[in-house]
Amino acid sequence: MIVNTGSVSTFTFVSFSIPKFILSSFDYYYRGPTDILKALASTVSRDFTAAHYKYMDDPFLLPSKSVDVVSFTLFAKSSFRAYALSKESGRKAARYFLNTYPELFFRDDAEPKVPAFCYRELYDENTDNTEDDLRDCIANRDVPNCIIAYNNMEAKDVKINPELKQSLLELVCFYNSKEARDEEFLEEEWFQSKKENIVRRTWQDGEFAEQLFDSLPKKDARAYCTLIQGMGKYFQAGKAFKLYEEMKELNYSPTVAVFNYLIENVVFIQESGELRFEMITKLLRDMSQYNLKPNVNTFNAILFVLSRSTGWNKASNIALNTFAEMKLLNVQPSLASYYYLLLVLSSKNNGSNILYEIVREIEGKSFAIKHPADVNFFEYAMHVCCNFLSDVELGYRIHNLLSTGQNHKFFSTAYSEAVYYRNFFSLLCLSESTDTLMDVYNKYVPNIYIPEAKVMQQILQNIELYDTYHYIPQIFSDITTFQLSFRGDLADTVLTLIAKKKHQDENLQKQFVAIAWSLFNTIVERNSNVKIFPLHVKGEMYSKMILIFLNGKDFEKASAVLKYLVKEKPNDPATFIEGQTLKLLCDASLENKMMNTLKQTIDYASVIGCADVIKHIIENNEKYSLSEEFIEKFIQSSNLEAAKEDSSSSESSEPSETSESPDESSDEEK
Amino acid sequence: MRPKNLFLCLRFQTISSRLFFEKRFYGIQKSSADEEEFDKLNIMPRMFVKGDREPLAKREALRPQLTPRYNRMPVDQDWNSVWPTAKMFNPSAVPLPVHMGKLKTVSGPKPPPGKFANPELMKVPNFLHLAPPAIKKHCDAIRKFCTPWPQALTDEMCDKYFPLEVITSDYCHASPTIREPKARIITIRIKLSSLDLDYHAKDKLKRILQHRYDPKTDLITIVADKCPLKSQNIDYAKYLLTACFFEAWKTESWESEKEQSDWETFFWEKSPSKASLINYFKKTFQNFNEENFLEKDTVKDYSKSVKNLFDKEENDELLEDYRKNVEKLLFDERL
Repeated sequence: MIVNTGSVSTFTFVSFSIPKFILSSFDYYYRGPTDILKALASTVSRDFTAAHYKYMDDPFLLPSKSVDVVSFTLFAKSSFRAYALSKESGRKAARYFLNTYPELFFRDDAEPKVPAFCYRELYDENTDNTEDDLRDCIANRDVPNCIIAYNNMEAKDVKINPELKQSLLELVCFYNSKEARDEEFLEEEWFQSKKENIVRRTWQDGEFAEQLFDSLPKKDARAYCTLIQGMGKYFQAGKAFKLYEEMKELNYSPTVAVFNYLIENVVFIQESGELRFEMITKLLRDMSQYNLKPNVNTFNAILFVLSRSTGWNKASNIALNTFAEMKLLNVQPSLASYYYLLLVLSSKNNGSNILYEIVREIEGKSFAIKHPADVNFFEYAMHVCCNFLSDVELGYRIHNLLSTGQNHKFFSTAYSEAVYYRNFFSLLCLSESTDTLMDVYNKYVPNIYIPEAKVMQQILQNIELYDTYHYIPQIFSDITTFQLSFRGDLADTVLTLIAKKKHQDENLQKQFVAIAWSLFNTIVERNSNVKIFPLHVKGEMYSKMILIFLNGKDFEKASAVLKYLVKEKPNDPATFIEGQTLKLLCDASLENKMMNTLKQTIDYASVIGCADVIKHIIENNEKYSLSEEFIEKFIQSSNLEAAKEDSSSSESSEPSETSESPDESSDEEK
Repeated sequence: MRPKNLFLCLRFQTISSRLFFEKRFYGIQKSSADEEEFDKLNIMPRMFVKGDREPLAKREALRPQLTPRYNRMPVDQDWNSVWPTAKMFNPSAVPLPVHMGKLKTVSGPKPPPGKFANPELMKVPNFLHLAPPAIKKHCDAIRKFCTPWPQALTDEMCDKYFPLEVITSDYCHASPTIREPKARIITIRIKLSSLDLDYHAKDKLKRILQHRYDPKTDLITIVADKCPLKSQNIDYAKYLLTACFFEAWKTESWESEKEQSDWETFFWEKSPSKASLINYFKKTFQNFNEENFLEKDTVKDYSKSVKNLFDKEENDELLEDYRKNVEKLLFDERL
């Protein structure tokens, strides 16, 4: 639109044009209804500080327990799984009530109506169905209703358009005559245990799909193709090949998809790699006879067969040749192709090195899903990188690839995601400094990944190696939050680490004391409660705790541990603490003039048979300038005789020394 | 089997009988007094019992909680990704020490409460999704859908060539329906000066429009909500404007019967003031020429001050002005 303005007197004209873009979006550039929303959404990147949006964003309601890969029996305890599944089961319950009592849900304010939220009518034998019903069912992918409607129409001799029959056949072949999976409920699949890698025959023989095919008056090429593809998808190899032979006799030309499925099914027809490959070559020759060009799934099928015949010595060579052929035909490989290639080659010695080339090839690309096995690539690549190659550089490159675009969606289950991150973190623990490791840790924990006990152990080992003890408080607080404290010997590892030496930094030492104290309190609480399964803690751990308290100059806490042991576990040999620690405790109590504790320590030492503790005191008593009376009293009041007997019996090798020593020293005092 | 009739015991009771201890795990207890009575169903039976089991609150407290996630946020994070759209305030996700509300206590006023468990912060709409860098990002993202504004098209030209302004509103909220009855209401606005009108038509249009015309801004505003659809209302408002316009140009026969009380403003020309002035001068001067007389400045000034006295609020200034003009007319006027 041009608007001319101007005044006649001065003869100046100003002209401007309104851009067509605004006036009519149809003839210049068509903008879809959601294009602006999509553009706005593209400004938002992944927020690593937040959990997945299916969880409530609140510290009290966010899951904090991990998927435990190491001991799979504990998988059920993962709160991620529990929270997500309970949400979904709520939705399922709602769906159940809607389907059971549809008459109660008469009020529906939705405008426009959302068909997914409405009651779905189920047909029975008495319903009068028309072609339109069938067409609707097919459009909604409602397989059970389709079958009922079709049977009703057949029984009442209603004429059905052959085109409609063909689309019905396509539907039932695709879903194997079963109900289609509801795409609203994906959580169960996401949290199921490791996806079944076993390929097996699931095709329903003689079910509706085959009945429909048999009832077709004129079986054309499309019907044959559809049925072969359905059988191929569910691995009914024998029947699929039989139909293929029939097709050849009838001079029908199959499609590329038919060949793709047939190649995959070769696995079930032949046993050895060589025979399988012969058969594939035959199929490929047939393909060229029909003037069909292979696509990416054809190659994926070939690689799939090779990945299942790794025992054959030529498999890896042929896999590489297949890839070369792909390049030649300018077919873009999908992630599944790389996955299968890796699978074939990593079974050979030094074969895993192909991963370097694969990563170099696909670095920086964002992928779209093309093949069901695409989702296995990242998990397996990281597995190879961590366990076969142990190359942290390569690990970073794979991880960068995962972070590119929408690639992080290439995980099929929570399990495989956890395995990926477990391998990645193991790799980092082995070869990176703690600072770098913790940078990555802070980014992914706890929202994307929660480390398992084993990985936590590795992180602690890394901390020990690089002497970066200041990370321990953070790691420990995470361990408590993820409820891993008493999983494996994690608590023991933490205590060992912090009891190892006295730290100069007083603040840090204080934090360590707090860690040990919280562990001690947890133990006391757990063991005092009869209903909860009690914790069995070894004496070493108690002695480490005492050591930490003494290092932190917190004598009261150290004596509290001892008091607890004396009171609760006086006769449990497993909890006896080390003599060296008792000696230190004695020294500390003398230093603090806590004679009660000293007495308790000596008593305890005598009970557990550590007589050299008493010896140690008497040897060192000059240092503390103990009065004569005290020693007398001390010797009398303490159950020394028992100690003597105990020690002489237990340490029979040197009885004289132990029995004599108290007397000697007392003499000296006199 | 006899169907069990269940009563709901909704009131808390303190029961210490041993029997109840044993039965509480089953939730159903039989009245021992009367076998014929209905069985009772205790909802949350554990809540009644003291001592035997740790209270729920304590057990919950034992479960370790995550620290609020703002503690883990890096300083240089992309805020737009954390808070992409408008949503209710969430204290664990906002790394700011926000305070809001008022606390009245016996001991006197207290500082406003912090962000945790603060309903005041949840009630108000926040604009955390509209940080300036976020807006910049959004603008960059949707720039490709826009064409540059025609440079020659200035604001004045807009007023001149696109005088009609149509204001519509769209509503978007989380509810089962996407329809919003308020969306049908539209407003059209146009400047009176941009319409081609003479004095009479302008006056008549103002009378027709009544409150729809604002003399301060010179804007005609028509709001339409009669029809169910937005586009229908726009058409209807445009029709109303057109009808008013053509109605304003018409002069009805009864309009000549307009009296002084109907005047929208004081017309000196038609007023008794003029008549009496002419009358007075006619009597005073023999050679009085009415046409020449009316052309004189003194007369014009006088007429203006009379008009002002009628139209405007009376004040000393106007009266003084009137006095001066009357004096001029009476004593200085020599024909």
